[in-house]
Amino acid sequence: MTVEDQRGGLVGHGVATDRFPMGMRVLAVDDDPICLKVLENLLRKCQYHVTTTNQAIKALKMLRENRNKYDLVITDVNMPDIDGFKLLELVGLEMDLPVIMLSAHSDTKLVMKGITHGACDYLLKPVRFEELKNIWQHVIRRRKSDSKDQNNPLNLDKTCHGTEGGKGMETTGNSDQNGKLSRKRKDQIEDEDEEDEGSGHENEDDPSTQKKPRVVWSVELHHKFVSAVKQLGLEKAVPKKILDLMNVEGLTRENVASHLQKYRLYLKKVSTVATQQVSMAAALGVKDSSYAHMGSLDGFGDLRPYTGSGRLTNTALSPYPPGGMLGRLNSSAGLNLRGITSSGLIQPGHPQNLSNSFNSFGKFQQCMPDSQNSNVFQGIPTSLDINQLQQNNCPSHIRGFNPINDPTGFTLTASFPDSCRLAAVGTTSNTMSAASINPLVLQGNTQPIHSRVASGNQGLAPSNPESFGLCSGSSNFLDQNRCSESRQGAVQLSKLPSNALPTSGPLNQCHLHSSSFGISSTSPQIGNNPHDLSSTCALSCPLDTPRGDVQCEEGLIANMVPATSYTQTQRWEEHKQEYSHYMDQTFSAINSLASANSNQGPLSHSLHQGKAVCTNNFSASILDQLNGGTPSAAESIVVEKSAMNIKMKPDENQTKSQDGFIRSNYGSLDDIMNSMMRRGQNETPLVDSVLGYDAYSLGGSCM
Amino acid sequence: MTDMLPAAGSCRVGLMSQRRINLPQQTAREVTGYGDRRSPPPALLCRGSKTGLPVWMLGLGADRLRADMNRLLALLFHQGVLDEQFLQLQQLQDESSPNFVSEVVNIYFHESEKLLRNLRGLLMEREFSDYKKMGIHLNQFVGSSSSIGAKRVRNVCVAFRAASEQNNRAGCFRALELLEHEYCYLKNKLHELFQIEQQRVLAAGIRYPMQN
Repeated sequence: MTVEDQRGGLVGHGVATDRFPMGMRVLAVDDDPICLKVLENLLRKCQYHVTTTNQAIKALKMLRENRNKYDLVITDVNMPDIDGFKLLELVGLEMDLPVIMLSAHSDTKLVMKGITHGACDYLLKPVRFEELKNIWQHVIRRRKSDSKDQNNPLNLDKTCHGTEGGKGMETTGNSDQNGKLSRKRKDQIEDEDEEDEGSGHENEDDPSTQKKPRVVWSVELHHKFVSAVKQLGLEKAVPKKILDLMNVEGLTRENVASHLQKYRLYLKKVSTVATQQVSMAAALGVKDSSYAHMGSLDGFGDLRPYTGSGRLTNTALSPYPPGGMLGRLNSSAGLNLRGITSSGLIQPGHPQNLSNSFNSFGKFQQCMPDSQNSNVFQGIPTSLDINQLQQNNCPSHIRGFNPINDPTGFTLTASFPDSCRLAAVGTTSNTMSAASINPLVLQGNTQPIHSRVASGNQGLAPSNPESFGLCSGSSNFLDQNRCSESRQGAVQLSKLPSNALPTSGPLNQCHLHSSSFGISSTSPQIGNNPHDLSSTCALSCPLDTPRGDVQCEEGLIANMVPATSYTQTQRWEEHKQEYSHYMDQTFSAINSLASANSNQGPLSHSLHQGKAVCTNNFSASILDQLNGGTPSAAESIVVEKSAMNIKMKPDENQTKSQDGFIRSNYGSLDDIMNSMMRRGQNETPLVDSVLGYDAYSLGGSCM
Repeated sequence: MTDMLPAAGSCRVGLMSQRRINLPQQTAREVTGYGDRRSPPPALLCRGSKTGLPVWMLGLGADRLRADMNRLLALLFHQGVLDEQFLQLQQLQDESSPNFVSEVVNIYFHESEKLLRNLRGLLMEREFSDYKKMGIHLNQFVGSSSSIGAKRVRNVCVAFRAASEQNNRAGCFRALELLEHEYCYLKNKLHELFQIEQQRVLAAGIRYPMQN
């Protein structure tokens, strides 16, 4: 394909040519060789012309060499050399090409970031042929919007992201193409008075070329603008005055006005990132201190800037689970999400928008693939409950939050406020854990929990169960660590899921694919869940493991019935540290049992093995021993387990009695025990891989 | 799902065996099941010929092999080991890229084992705290697994990623084990698939003299 063909076909003629989108030139950037190869072939199948590189730096070089060589850039988000977003900004800034982001992570805040940085689209891996077939629309759209008349804003809410370039002021505003399209094509660093840059150059042949002058907000121009604003004070900055101060020929008040609007949004975004925790704390009506830990929710910061007020900040917060284990944002869903962002973010102070966005978000959830729990947002409380919620905990913001959903079968009962409070308590106390739960499971920090509670439905995103399972485990841990008061909340919290999890069991099956935790389901031990979960709680299995619950790996563990009571007490009353203490106890119990059976040989041998990894199996069986108290069983299990690596991470503080006991009984093992005890504080025991039986093979001789 | 357990056990991820796709090693008898009918001399049944199949067997085995392959694929789909993305990969294979699937999958194996090594190395550290790094590895793993349609592996990775985001070390360990297990199983099965495919291609491609 000759250069002329390409240029003629793609540049200037807009959409006219028949050949387009065939032959569209795409630059694909991804550090993962597999994805890159698959992407390349998929693009070839779409009959695009593909160039690939696995380094963002190289991509930039190629783009800079000849900007006109490419029509579209697809780039991965996580890359080692340059962050995908940075690349996005640079490409938008310098080359004004449409950029599509690609990621394996469907994290909402990442998507948000992509949109705000000007991405045309945000695709999730695995990329599908159907999605790629349509990416040419972004090229057309951008071209159209470039040539668009100021008075004819089309549906450019998406393209204008990209067209505005990466001045850091990109918003999702779709009302701004009137003014400030950065025409980066030829004049990178123009000076003032960029008039008619774009319209003149961009589409000579395009019949719809508009005649109005366009302003390019170059760096210098922007500086002037900023200094003018500073002079006036942001609050008092009015376009007229700014215009006067800037004293730039040809700049109209409208130009300044729209630029100012964008600038304000940008500032809010920047500032609210810094103050996110405080505002979040305020929003949720919970203790501030705990929210200092909400670092993990940093994604929230992205959401908040778009709300003009603190109130909406929280409303904005609510619908967007930053941790977004929402399953895959496929293109349709992604589009919905874009719709959300554009509607939800553009107009701060408009709860309606948020609810709209939320609606679409709910819809998005509904169209999530391969999950029974299509109504992820079932968890979203009804407005009624939300009001209640507000009254209970949060300031009134959520009121505007007229939900959204059509939760199917979701019923928030009057228990909502209570549970909300509990959740709030839980969240406050759970700091990290709550934070982690929130993004993953909660929509808006509280609702999902309750959704799970109240409805016991699959109000969880497909991936939520898995995350939830894991995180409720950790939350339990962390709860205990953080606040005593959280215990109650934590209890509630974790109890809630227990009710919900069975229903999410089938959920697990479908999305998480029970097989992934299916190993658990194959073994009968699942019933051991102290939460009294059914066997469907394959999820909880991994969860519970830290507490020495079932971890049915490969059916290795014969008797995996953990002492539910024991573990439960452990769970609710002890720290992670205490858990390791507990492990200690079990270990020492084993020792005692072993000694009782005069089985010191193998045990010491296993101890000698250096790597002491306490497997869940081990602990579970130990629990069994502790409960059952049958020395013979203990012996067999001890022997069996001793063959495996046993690594204790005992907490020194709490093993006094056991230490003494152990030491007294295993004088020769003192050193080993000491060294093992010194190792790794407060860590839950490592679980040796069942597959990698390195130690086992090493210690095989000990049997 | 119990059938996967023994298979996984045979794969020593810890040893990181780099299995490549080899020429078929099975005899014609095993492959085609036709061994009884004509009972060729034993010499012909072993890997005497270049293809590893007795020449006279070749044309007949192709259909049987295709059936075997489809059966295996169906099983894997049913188990959720693979999903439709794998089918897309297969569709991308054509004359211009005849070995596309196996190339991609080989790269995937290579990368995945690297990742698994890294992950295990990270988790085994005594003072492990770099969840972020683990998250990066996991993200790549999720991406590549989903790109080839390794659904179960991908799901475990997602869960693993969640655990690491919560700094849940125990959860990470569990997930890692699960991941290794699933990966092993996938690798075994894909190898099996490719072997059958190779044999099928060979069987279909070789013309043998129609003499008797």
